[in-house]
Amino acid sequence: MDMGLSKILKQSLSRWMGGDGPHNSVAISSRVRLARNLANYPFPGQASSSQLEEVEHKIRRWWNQGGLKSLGKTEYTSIKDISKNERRALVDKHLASPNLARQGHGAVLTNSEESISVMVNEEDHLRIQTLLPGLQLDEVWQLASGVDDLFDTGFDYAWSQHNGYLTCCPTNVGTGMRASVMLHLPGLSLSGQLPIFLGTISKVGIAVRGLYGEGSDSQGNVYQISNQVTLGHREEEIIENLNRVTLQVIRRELDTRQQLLKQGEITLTDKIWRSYGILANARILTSSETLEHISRVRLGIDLGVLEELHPSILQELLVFTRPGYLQKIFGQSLGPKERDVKRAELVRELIKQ
Amino acid sequence: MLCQNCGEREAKVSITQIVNNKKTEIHLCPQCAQQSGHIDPVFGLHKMLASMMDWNPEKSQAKTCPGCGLTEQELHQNGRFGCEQCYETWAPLVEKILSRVQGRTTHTGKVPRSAGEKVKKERELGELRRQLEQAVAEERFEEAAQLRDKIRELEKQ
Repeated sequence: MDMGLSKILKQSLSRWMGGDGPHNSVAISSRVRLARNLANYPFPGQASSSQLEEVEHKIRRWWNQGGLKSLGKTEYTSIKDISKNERRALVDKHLASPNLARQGHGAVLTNSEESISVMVNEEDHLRIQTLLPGLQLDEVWQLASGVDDLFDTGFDYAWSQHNGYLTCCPTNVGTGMRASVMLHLPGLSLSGQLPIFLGTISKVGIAVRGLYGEGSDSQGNVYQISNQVTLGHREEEIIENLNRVTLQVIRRELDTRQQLLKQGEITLTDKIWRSYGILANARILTSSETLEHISRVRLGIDLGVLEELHPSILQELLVFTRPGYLQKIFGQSLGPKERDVKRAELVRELIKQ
Repeated sequence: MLCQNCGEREAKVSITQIVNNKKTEIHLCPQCAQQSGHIDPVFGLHKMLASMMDWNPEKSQAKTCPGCGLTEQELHQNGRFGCEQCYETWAPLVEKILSRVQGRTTHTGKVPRSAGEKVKKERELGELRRQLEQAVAEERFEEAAQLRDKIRELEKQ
């Protein structure tokens, strides 16, 4: 790979992704999002353009004056100052939502690890988000709460004693907190247990969705589980409940992987090596095909079948093979076919490293 | 033009939406358009929330929120609040919505500094007013004047 490309790739990956978190053979990352609004301004959806601008300026000024100094180096990016492809890359890294990427008065604040990001003027004035590798729900909550405390010293929040933090959407009122874990579940998926299992989870106040694609048909077998309710429970209770459920899912996934291996080692190993073969050699790769094979290769790494690859390959490829990234890396608007060719090229390089 | 959701396929479907006189246009490929309920929450979740509110246009009052100008009709159509005052403007409705969406309606979690200070200030003011009343009743006017100044000062903060 030429030096330029490998440098871009390095910069493209959030630094937190490189780390190994607890239970990382199943839990890819943990995230907490806090929705907050400033008092005395309408929520972004109902605010005028000049009000949105005022909120953005206020926050930028506060940041300029060192409001987030205690977090180390942070960066402030106004959506209107960056290109379309850079916006997409922010979306692919989950640092901005598609909604924010379309917003003229939107901005994103990030720390250098990108474990902390704050969206300004999305559906709510502030969306504080923290991300860490593996299963670290308590840690992401503490981190988010700390960032929240900093904003709290700089601004008065929209809050009521009865309903708590007031948000645009009734599904976020109260704590304003959505905690989630991204899980790689190839075992449950291969064994066909997933639909039943996901149905059970949703009955205990936990929402499940496929990360890429929809419903129980997630491409790449990556699922996100999160709390459904944000009001009437303390943040710590919500975190603990989600953590308990996640640990059960992890145990079940690991058991199933072992069962699959016992039932037909050669069949499973064959599938893994075939996927490896495709990723290492294919000349055209669509994004859904890539996701499918990355999932199997990662399973192979976790089961010790593929010993030479680093587990972080899943996170890396999940980001790099998204359309926004490919465009950013290759610096041009690629047609669908060209993109599949470039994707295959990139995957071959990464697999060989 | 490429699909604004996947950025991968050619956009063939345009969805135009007008909310609060703001027009938004989204261009999608047929695959993404089919799943559009999941792309933009406005299309899916909020419709659903709105339908959960049992809105009857004939019974509704022609009320707008003084804080942001949101009408009751818009609240029902979008299932979203426009500002913090909406929570007071439609308090009974909010209670109904929250108990359906969330199960519970009373916050038990984190309290922000500003709210903590407000609560503290209100308590302090209440105590000073009580002392002032007592001082006046007992004709301790010098003390009453001091208390009155203190209250004024605190109210200004």
